Amino acid sequence: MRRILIANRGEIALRVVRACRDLGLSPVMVYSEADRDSLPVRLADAAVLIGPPPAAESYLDIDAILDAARRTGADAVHPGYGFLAENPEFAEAASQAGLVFIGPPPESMRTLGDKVEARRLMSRHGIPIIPGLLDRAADAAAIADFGRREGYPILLKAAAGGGGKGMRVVRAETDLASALRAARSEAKSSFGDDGVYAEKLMEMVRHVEIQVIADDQGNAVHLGERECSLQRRHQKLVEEAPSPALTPDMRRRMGELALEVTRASGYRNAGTIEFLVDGEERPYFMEVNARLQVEHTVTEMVTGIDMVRAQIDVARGRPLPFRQDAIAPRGWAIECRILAEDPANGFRPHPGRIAALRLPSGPGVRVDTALQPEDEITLHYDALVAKLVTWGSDRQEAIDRMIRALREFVVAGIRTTIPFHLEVLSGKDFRAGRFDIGWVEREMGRLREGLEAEGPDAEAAAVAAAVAALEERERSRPAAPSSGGPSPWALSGRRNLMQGRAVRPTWE
Amino acid sequence: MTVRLTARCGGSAWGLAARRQAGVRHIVAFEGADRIAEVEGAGPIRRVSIDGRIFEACVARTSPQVDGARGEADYDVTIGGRLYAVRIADPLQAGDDRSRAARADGPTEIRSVMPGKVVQVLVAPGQEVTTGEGLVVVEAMKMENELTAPRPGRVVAVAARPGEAVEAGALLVTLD
Repeated sequence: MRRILIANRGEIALRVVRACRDLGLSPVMVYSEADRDSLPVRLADAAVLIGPPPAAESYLDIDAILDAARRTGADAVHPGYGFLAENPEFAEAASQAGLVFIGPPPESMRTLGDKVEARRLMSRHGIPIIPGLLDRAADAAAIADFGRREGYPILLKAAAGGGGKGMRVVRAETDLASALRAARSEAKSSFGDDGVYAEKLMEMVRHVEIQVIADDQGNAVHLGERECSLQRRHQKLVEEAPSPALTPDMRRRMGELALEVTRASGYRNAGTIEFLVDGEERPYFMEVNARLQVEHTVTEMVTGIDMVRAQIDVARGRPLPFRQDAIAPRGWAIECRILAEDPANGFRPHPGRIAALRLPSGPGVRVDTALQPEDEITLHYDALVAKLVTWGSDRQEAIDRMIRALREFVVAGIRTTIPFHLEVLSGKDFRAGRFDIGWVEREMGRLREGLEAEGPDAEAAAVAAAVAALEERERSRPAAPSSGGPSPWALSGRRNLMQGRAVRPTWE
Repeated sequence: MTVRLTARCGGSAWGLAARRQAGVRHIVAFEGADRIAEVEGAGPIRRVSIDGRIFEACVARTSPQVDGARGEADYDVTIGGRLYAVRIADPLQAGDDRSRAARADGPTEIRSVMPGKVVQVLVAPGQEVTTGEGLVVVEAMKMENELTAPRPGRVVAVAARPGEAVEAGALLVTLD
């Protein structure tokens, strides 16, 4: 293996470019017109334009990507996460084109990618699953019947799904028809398959997942757990490793369960086994993410293992360089997903141009981002703009460092989830590790109130800074602008304002 | 040269006087409060001192241009990771608010809350809808959001077209 084509964009593409550099391999990028000048494209050895901004015409275009691989002489392909990462047809097409696919074999991807097939497989192997339907083509009547039998609330899930798409919570039968229509439509547009099934909605539970990696020689190890309970609408917002909720005994049991899942599905390369854990410390298998995950960073920080490097090594047929008993997590790591969303307005997407950027740094801080000043955040892709990760010798230190880093992080031009993260991380519940998958939605009212509260001096400082910016803007404007028409404020309003009223500034 | 302005931020409103000193230094005095802010620096990230305490403020304009009709300009200012939405207004033009508040009860307009793409239109003109009934599905950042009727009523107009890109605030459906 000499040259790896990266079939992705943004921070994860950059992550793989960096792994290639560390290994002395040559990274090649594909990009859409929206990503022409992106950081991973700049840092690659070669890059090929594969289409216009919409993903369906670029990052999901298998033929265009394989053609780019052929033209640039790539001998392997890394899919990142999202886009084609869990698409078995892409993995197969890549192999047929003579490329090494850096990920699991298409067969296990196919079985695990279908949530219902995966549930059946786990059920056969005696692995506890969430109560629900085992029929992937459940019709409305079967789902209504399940709801009546198990009791509401229930959760509709896309059989082919992942990443929270095609999922809907249904709290009463009267809402079922509308929710089913929405879930099917979203499943169809996200995965090209409108199959939806139902599970019992598990509430007051934690989301704990186990990272595994397996090689071609039959070695499989787990790299411990990640706690991902802080989520909103099934989108993770904060992840950490280890989990503050697991006892050493549970950690061992869940690690063993995860390896059983790995073996049962003939899995190779890196993958994640997701569980829900209830108040009685019982784990329930939820699904396997047959790819590298967004939050692999926290596992890297506590194990010291470069996950992307391990993926590449396994894909080129090398045995895992570490054994289970050599993996000992050290310290604590936390990740905040910084999204281009406005937490004060229902996490509404907030695209825009990055007017200014300053990334945090210092002891224990890692930032995975492809952001550059002047970059445009568009609605074509997901809202993740940066992953802010901190490490500490214990959980409290990791939290303190995260708060410090969030306060240093400056992104202007878009609204981000930074104020939300600051509010969560500063709270007593997070500090005590007291939360479950419903915490964010239950606490959101209180969290929203805290988003701006930092005292009158800070508000005054904000006003003063804005006034200074406005003043400079107005002053630098030519008296008779050549285009765009005169500013009413500059030409008339201001003049009236200053001349028509007595001004008694307090400093005179 | 000194200018007088009013500003809102969070729940507070201030009258203030601003003066530029040599270079890129601004002095902003807040009326009725014994508070003077000094702003140093050019570009989007500035240093603000109030009573010797330093704040580092990052300023981005959110209104596309100074809105002459309303005499207002909006800014997003971030300080220490927190966001402050600031509106600066010209007090001589503030009377305008009353005419905008005059809008009475009438048709309810369902508007897109975000820029996105109309995926599906679930209703047609003339159709009676109940509270919570789905009207239009809009997709943004790969998530679909169903906009529902806020009250019972009859659909009088459907502006949304499937496949069409819409801006935030775009009119989708009108209820009588």
